[in-house]
Amino acid sequence: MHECAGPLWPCALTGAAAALAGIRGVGVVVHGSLGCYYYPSSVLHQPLYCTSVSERDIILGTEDALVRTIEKIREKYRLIAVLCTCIPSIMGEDIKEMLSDRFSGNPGICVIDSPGFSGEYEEGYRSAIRALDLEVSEGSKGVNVDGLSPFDPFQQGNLQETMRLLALAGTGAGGIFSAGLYRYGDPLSRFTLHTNPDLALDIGESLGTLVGISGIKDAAKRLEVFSGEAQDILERDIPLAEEKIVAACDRYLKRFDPPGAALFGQCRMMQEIALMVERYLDADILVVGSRNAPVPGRFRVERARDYGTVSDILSQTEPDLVLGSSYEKYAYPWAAFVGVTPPLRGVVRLHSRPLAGIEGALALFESILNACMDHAKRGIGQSGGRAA
Amino acid sequence: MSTPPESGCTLTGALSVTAEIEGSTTIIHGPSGCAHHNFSLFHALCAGRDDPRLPRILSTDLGEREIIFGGEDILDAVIRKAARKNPSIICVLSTCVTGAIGDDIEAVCRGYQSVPVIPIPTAGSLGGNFHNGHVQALISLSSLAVDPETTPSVNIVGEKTLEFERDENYTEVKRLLSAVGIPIGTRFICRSTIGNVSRISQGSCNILRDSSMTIVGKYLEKRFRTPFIDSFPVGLTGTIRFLEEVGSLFSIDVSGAVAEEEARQEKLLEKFQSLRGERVHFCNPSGNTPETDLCREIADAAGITVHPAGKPVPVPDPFPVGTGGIGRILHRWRRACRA
Repeated sequence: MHECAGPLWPCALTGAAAALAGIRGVGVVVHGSLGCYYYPSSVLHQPLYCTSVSERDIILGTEDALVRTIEKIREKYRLIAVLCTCIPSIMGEDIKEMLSDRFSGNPGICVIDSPGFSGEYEEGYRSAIRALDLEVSEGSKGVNVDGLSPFDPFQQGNLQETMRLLALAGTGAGGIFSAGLYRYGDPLSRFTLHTNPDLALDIGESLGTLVGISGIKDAAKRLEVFSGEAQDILERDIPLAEEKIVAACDRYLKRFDPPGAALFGQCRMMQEIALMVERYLDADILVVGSRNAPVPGRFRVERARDYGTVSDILSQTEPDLVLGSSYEKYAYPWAAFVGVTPPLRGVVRLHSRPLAGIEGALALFESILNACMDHAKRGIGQSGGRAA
Repeated sequence: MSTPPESGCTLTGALSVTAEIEGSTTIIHGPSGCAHHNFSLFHALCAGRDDPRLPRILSTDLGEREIIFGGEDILDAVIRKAARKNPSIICVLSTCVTGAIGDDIEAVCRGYQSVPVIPIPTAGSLGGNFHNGHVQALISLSSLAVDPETTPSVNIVGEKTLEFERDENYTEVKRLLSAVGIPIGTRFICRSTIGNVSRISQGSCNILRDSSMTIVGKYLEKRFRTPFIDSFPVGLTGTIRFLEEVGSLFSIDVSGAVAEEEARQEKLLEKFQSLRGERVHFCNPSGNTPETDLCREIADAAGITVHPAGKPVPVPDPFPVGTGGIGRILHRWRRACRA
C-alpha cells in the first residue's frame, strides 16, 4: 500500500544536495522546479542554485533554463554539479549529451540523477559523492572523515570530536565529507573514518565507525596500526569514558528500573546507539524505527518513515524512553525524550553537541540519564501520564 | 532563473489553507519527498507555536512504476483508505510529477459521495508559486458554499496562516470591527470547521488579508455578490480609513469609533515620546516599498527624523496590522535606537 501519512525523511535529492553543498569548489544546481529547491535550501543553509523549471520548459525542453543557470555561476566554481530532480527524469532528456554539446565536452560539469521518486536521502548522499569520481592518493596524509552533513544537527559536534581524536592519534584529517572543509580536487587519504554508518562512503580503506563505545574501540585499534599513536585513546580515554558511563548508569539503576526504549532514526546509527543503551543501562530495546532501508540486527527493526507509522509503533510499544526526532517527541509526549535524529524542533540548540566519538557517547548518556531522571521524578508513568 | 527567493511552492501555499480545516486530510499525489518537504515545514511551525497538533498529510508515495504506468489507481486507493477515518474533508493536491505524467485527478475525486473530496490543481511549482497555491486552494474550497443567504457580518479572507503574527493581526481586526459593531462570520480559511467554510457565501462583506488576495475577492464577489475591502488595516491613516470603509459598506455611522481610535493612536504615540528627535534610517532589503511609506508616516507622527545617517531600524514585512501593530513597530525601533 502506498499511503504514507506524514513522510518524515528527505528524498534522494536532499541527500545529494547535502553531500555536495558541503564540498568547496562545487556549485550545486537543482535542476527542477522551485519546490524541489526550497526544502534543501532552507534546511541545509548552503548556497544552492535552481533552474526553476516551468510549465513552458516542460513543453519546449529544459535546456535553456539549465544552460542559463550554469552560465551565471560557472566562473565561481571548479565543478558544477547538476542534480536532476523528478521532472527532468520523467521528461527523459539526455542532459549529459545536451551539456556536452553546449559546453564543448562539458569539462567541469557533472550530471547526477537524483529524482525523489527513485530513492532516499542516504542513497542520494552516497551516489552524489560517487559521481564525483574521487580518487585516493598514495602520498596523502591524514584520514578522511565521512558521514557529516549539514542536514544533521550533530554535524559540527561530530566534526570537532573527530578532529580531536585524530589529533590524539597523532594525525589529521584528509578529505572531510561534507562540512565545507574539503576542496574538490584536493588529494584524499587512503584511509577513512565514518561518523555515521548510514552515510559511509567507499573511499579508500575503512578504519571503522565512531559511533558506540565498541565501534570507537575498534576504530582506535585500526588508527593505532595506522598512526602508532592511538594508545592514549585506547588505554586512557575510552576506559575513562566507559567508567564514567558505567558509574552514572549504576547510580541511576540503584533508584530506578531501566527504561523500555524505542529508537527512531537511520537504521545502523540507531542500532549502534541501542547496543550502548542496552549494555550500559540494561534497557529493554523495544524497537528500532528505521527512517531508511532497514538492515537486520540484534533488535526488532520496523520501517518508520512516516508520522502515522511512528505514532502506531509508539502507542503499541509504550516506551519509557524515546530516542529520535522532535516528531517522536510530539507523537508520544509521555516518555522521556532525547533528540538524536533530525529534525530537532522546538528547542534552542546553540553549542556543537556530538553524537559520534567518545564525547558523543558521554553526551548521549548524560542526556539519556537526565531525561530519564526528570521523567521519573515528574512521576509520569506510561498510562498515568497519558490519561492525564 | 537562478537562486529563487526563499518561498515555498504551490503545494505549500495550498496546504497553508487545507491544513487549517479542522478534521481535514490532505493527500499530496506524488513522490513522498514532496509531502515530506511540507510536513517538515508544518512540524517546524507547530513546534515554534508550541502547538503539538500536526495536520494530517498523506502522500501517495509514487515510485518509478507509477511514473511509467500512471498513479490514478493508487490515488483512488489512498482516498478510499483516508475516507474510512471519517475526515471532515479530503483535499487532493497534484504535484509536478502527476502534472507531468497527466493523471486525471478530478476524475478520481468525482467518485466519492460520503465525504467531500476536493481536487486542487497545484502541480507543485509547475503550477506557480506559494501564492498561486494559496489562491487556488481558496477558490477550489469556495465550491463548498451552501447557502447564499446574506447575514450582517464580515468574512476574513486569505489570512497568511503561516505568518508568525497571524493571531495578533486577526485579533486587531476583530477589535476594530467590534468597535463599529460588526461581527466576524467566517475565517476563510484559518482555524475553520467545514461548517464555517461552507458559510463563506453568507457574509455581507469580505475583508481580504492584503491586496495579493484581490483575485480571490473578485472571484467571491462574482460568485456570491459579496463586496470586499482589499486589505487588513495598516498604518495610522490606513486604520482610520478602514473603519470609515466598513462604515460606508454597512451604511453605519462610525464617527464615534473613529474618534476613539484617533485618541488611542495619540495615546500610543505619547508612550514613545522618548523617540522624539531620534534620527533613523529604514532597513528595507526590498528597497522603497509601500511598507517604507507607512514607516515614514509613523516616524513623522512620532517626531522621528528619517535620515541616511540615522540609526538603522527595520521595515517590517508583512506590515503589522492596525494601531496595535504600530505599537509593536515602535517597540522594535526603540530597542534599535537604544542598542
